[in-house]
Amino acid sequence: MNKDKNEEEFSKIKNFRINPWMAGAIIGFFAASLQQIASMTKPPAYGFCMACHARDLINSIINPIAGTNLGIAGIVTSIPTLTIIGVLLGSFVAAIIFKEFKVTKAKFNVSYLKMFILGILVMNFALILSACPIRTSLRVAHGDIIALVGLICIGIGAIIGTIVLERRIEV
Amino acid sequence: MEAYVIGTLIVGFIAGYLGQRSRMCFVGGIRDLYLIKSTHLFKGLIGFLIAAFAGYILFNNNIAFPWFVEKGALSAIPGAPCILGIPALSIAIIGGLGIGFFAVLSGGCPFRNTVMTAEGNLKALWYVIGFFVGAVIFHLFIFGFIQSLFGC
Repeated sequence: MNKDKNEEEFSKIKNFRINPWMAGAIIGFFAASLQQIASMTKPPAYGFCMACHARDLINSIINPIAGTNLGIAGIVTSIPTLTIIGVLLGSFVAAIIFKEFKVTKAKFNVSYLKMFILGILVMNFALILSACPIRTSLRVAHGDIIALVGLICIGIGAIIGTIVLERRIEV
Repeated sequence: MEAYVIGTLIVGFIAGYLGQRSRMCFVGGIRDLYLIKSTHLFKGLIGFLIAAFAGYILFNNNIAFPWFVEKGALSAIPGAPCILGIPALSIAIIGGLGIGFFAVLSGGCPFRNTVMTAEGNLKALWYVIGFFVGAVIFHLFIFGFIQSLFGC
């Protein structure tokens, strides 16, 4: 992770139209108000979650086919939540409109395997915490003390991961 | 029920659009704050927290606010009871550290990787496939283990 390269990329990022804080605020407001508008109050703070909604989607597809009884959050018994589909569609539309869609391949095929395993690991830890980083923040905003501990631990884990990455590149 | 499903699709669409335009990423924000001392992406997290708090205050008609763990927050399946205490805290610490560490190694939080998939990044596509496989693996093997270990 080259620092100069990072700063160069960062100055490029700065020129984009929407600020992250504005995007975060809009997403946060919609995620918080969705449950009340749709009158789905259980489980609380469940308006937006990459991990939990993906879990609900895949398990509600697999359960009828394989006859299993994999866990689904209480509210979504018959129809799956479609957050991850919405995110894919929305960012695809944005990438097409602003001509940023470009198929990029990895240099080595091992990177695909690495990302696949990292996806499995992140999903498992996210389901242990029962929230992805976004839902953790949503829960903090909802007044959940345990989620605050989780968010702080995400920060600590991210810093540890950054240190490990830095060391590996220096060596 | 239908309103909720369509609502998640619409909110997901808005979030995906904004996420693609702004490169918002919570874990990436913490990483940039530590690595290059820039608060650009970290402001996304702050904005999210403030706006979500405002949203809950504004629409607080029929839900209990604030909501603590005794109502069943911290189980692997939301809704099952788990009492505030050592088990709940240790689950939060294990999960939080794990997400932070592996999310940084994979280049961003799950949301950012999903957005990158839609931009045509094949590495991120494999990440999302691993995401779905991981959910099934969790409920087949790890969920029972965690439940017997911590009792929630």
